[in-house]
Amino acid sequence: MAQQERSVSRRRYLRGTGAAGIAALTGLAGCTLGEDGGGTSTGDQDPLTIAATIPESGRFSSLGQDLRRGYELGEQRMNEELDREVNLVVRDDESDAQTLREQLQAITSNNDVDMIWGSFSSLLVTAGSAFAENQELPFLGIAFAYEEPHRNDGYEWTYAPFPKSRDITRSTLGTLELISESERPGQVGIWEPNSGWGAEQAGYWEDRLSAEGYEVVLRETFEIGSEDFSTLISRSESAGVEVLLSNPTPGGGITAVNQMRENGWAPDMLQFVRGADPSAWWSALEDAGAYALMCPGWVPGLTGNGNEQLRNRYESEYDDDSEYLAVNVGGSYNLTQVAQQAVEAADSLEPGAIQSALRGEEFETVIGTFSFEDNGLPAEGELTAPTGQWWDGAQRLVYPDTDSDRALDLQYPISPWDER
Amino acid sequence: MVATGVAVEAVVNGLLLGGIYALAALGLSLVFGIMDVVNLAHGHMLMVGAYLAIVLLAATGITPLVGMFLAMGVLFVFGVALQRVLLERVVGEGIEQPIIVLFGLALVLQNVARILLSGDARTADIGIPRGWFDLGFLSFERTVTFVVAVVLVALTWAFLQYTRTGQAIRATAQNPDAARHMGIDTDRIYALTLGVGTALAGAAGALLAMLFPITPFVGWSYLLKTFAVVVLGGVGSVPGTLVGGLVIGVAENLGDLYLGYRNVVSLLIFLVVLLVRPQGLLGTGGEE
Amino acid sequence: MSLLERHPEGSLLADRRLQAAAVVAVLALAAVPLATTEALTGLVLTGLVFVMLGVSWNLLAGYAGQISLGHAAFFGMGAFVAAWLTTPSGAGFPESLQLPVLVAVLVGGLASALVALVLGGIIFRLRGHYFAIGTLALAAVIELVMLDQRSLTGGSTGYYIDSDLGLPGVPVSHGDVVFYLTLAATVATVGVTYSIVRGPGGLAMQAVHDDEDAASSLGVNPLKYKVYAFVVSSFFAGLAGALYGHYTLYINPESTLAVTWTIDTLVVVILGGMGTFVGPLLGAALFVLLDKGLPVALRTVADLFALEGGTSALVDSLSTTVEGVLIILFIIFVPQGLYGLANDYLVTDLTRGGPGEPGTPTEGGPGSDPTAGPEATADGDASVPPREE
Repeated sequence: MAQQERSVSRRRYLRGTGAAGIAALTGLAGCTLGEDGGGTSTGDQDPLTIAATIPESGRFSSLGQDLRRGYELGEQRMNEELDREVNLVVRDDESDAQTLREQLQAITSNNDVDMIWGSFSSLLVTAGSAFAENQELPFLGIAFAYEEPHRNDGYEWTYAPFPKSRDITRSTLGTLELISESERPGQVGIWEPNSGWGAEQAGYWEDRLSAEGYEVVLRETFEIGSEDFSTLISRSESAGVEVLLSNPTPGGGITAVNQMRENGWAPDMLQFVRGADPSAWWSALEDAGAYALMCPGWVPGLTGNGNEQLRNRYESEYDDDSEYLAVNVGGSYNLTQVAQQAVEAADSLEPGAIQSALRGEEFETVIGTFSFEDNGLPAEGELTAPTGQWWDGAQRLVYPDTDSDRALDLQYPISPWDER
Repeated sequence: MVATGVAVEAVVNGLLLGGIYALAALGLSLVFGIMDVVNLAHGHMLMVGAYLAIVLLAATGITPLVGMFLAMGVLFVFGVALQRVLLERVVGEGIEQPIIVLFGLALVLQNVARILLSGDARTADIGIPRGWFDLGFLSFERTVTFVVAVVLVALTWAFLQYTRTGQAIRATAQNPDAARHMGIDTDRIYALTLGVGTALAGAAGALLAMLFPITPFVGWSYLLKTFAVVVLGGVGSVPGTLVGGLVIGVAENLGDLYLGYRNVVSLLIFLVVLLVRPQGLLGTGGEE
Repeated sequence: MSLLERHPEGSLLADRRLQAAAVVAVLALAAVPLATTEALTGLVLTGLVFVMLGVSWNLLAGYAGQISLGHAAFFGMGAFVAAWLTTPSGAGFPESLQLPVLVAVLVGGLASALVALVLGGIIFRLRGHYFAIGTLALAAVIELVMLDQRSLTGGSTGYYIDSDLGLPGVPVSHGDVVFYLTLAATVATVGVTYSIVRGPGGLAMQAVHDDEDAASSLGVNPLKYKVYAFVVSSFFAGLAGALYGHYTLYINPESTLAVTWTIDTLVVVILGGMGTFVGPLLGAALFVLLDKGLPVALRTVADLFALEGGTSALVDSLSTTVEGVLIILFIIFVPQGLYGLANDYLVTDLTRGGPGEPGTPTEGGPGSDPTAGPEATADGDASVPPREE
């Protein structure tokens, strides 16, 4: 702990000399060691400083604004409801893990950071998490369904208030059960992106769906950067795939659906986890994107646990009265609720105190009520992953069932291309 | 394990794709063969052509099949200007300088595209009614773009073979000194060649925009892919480029089908051919 | 070379000045972690990594004349091999394989060198354009294969390096220790490369560069010297990658092996002056200023005007565009780079003023950067003369 104190005060001191440091780089000043360092005295209610990165450019750039809005609404609420000042420092990570780390490094060395919020996708969230684990700072990350790092990388500071691969798989089964038994499809195809999460999710799908009596007729991997799905499409068609499951990148998902249209083939049911999450899905595909199911963590149609407040805050802040909020606004807002409840329970900004709160408390957020396992996974079975469907330009909740007008009855089956 | 029908589809789809690869590679091949310059910005010029077609479609609804001509026009002028303004200054100063100038140009094009159009992937719809012909499993887009691409390759071949300018270009390629002696303005020929080469890249870009998502970063992968075609077909050979394109297209699809790899396959073919037979499978060129 | 041979005592004097200046530069750099923020230390460390990349690529491209566009692959392979050795569990290797960081980064460099040695015999069948594009394709294949082998590399999720060199009880962080290792490695890179280009090997490389056939007829085996340059160059690239990976503690086939590293290396060398010894040192300093400083400056301006969202992407593209334009302008109009510019003034001054007044004219120019400045000052006539076409 003494080590911790020292490094904090060093950081504090260095904050003041940062600008001079830049000057040193350009050769205007050689040395900035001075006697004026000394940290400012700290009161009981220290301000809470949060470092965050979001992908505002690069391949996940279509998510950046939604994540930012969720974080900002959360910061606003925390400032009102916590009895301390909350500062959120957000930077663009350019959808690049290396850049993300540099940005976090820059923020933590210029600010006395108490907590870090993650970016988007397992690629970027694990990069942020590695930084946080190294710095021993509490880290929250969404859009991160990959479970393996929680188990293998000895996470102590990383917590994911987000449905994981196993929760998504339960939700896929639940969605299938919405279809009456006589119409329910039986033949499943899985396109597995060549990545760790791709393999994990495909494995869960294959195991659980096979156990429930579905027949997995196709499971094929594809290169993560692939832009040509024509071979996978003809194989799926030839294998008689009725339910197509995959977790491509957003760009890959859009390309795949475009090529299905070109080839005149579509499954009866399509779930693209993460691929169909961003708003870019509809702007790129329009009606061709309808029917697609996704599992983005939060979907319009969920009720309770602050969902109404989220909507009110959003409307008053952004001058946007669209009926359905972008899903990642809800996901990132949920993260801020966890952060707030953890700080309230800890009643301190000590990393260790926040960590115990994250491990011990139960959290109520717009995506549900859940607690965490010690490795940062949401406890098994507690979180029902909401599944949404694209319909008429919006993502709407189809599973679980709620009484909200924003929820939708599952649209099944996908109508053939020539009838659209 | 793979049904015959699926394999046949993969081969046919590969041929359709290969036609566009051939068009995409043709400009690179001609510029290399005639001017002895490897256009490292070729993939990025293709990207620019794709974006021109996409933006035109988005702004006016004009199909990329027409937008292609805009892309060709703009990139022709760009190519001529590039030769006149930059490359003429570094020709004959060893190979480093043109390579680095074009490398720098690629960097500039990529980032200017990113500034103007953000890094998001964009695609273009074909913009004409689908379904007025039905070829079973054949994709309408791929069939149309294939036909257009092959027609353009054939026209380029006819241009080089049967027009006076084409003959002057071929004469310059064979022996610049002799060509100058015969009264050919070789500087003009070089500018024209680069213009035609980049215009062909623009046309290929406009066609590819209808099939695959385009980002400002696609330049490098298309550069490698088209270079694979050039190496396979032999530098400067139009028929060779067409065959090379078809081979790479089919190889990619079969690699995808049987091995699960697409890009690695074309790159490996490229490296192996480069090392074993640098003059190309069909070409007559040689090392250096 | 001939210049040095004709004036042995002059070179000796210059050598002393050079050594003194180098010591001052290294000491100034050594103060960086103590005197500045962690972020700034990271920035200077990145600059050192680019010095290593630039100096090593320059040996191959500038001296031996082999334009390799595959430098990133060797950087990345060094990073991964070293990562496997310090964190074997991540790739499923037994814990017993684990080595100390210092040994691991050296092995990382050696692994890159070994790959270069094996590939050298094959890839040097290609000449000129074919070599350039062949190395670009080779790097792309290596990147794709590493990306595919996710049990070894983590695939697109990347690989986490478990290493903490921070000293308990003293405020010296892991980053600071890696910084000093990198500084030492940079000194080694510069020193070894300097002795190569000043020695017979350097002469032979230049001969191969100028005219391979002529060199061959003079009894210089071109392949031998090309492979020599390739192996040494790849060793230092691998070492740089290994150190950088152990600084960031996270590597990813898509970013650590990306063509970006090759591009950046080229920019460093072209800006500094290709085929000149000091060039890459100046180039790395200018590059870091451009690549990291320019965005910071532009971002500050953006913050001042409270511009929101997307600006940083814009700023980043803008500074890369500037880099592209600069390398085009430099290669056409200032092919000797910053070094050439500095040399034009320096050499004349030094010749007139003699060794008694080292470094007078460096202010304001490229010499205003502590990374490379002092060396530029004293190095005017000591380094290998710029290669003439």
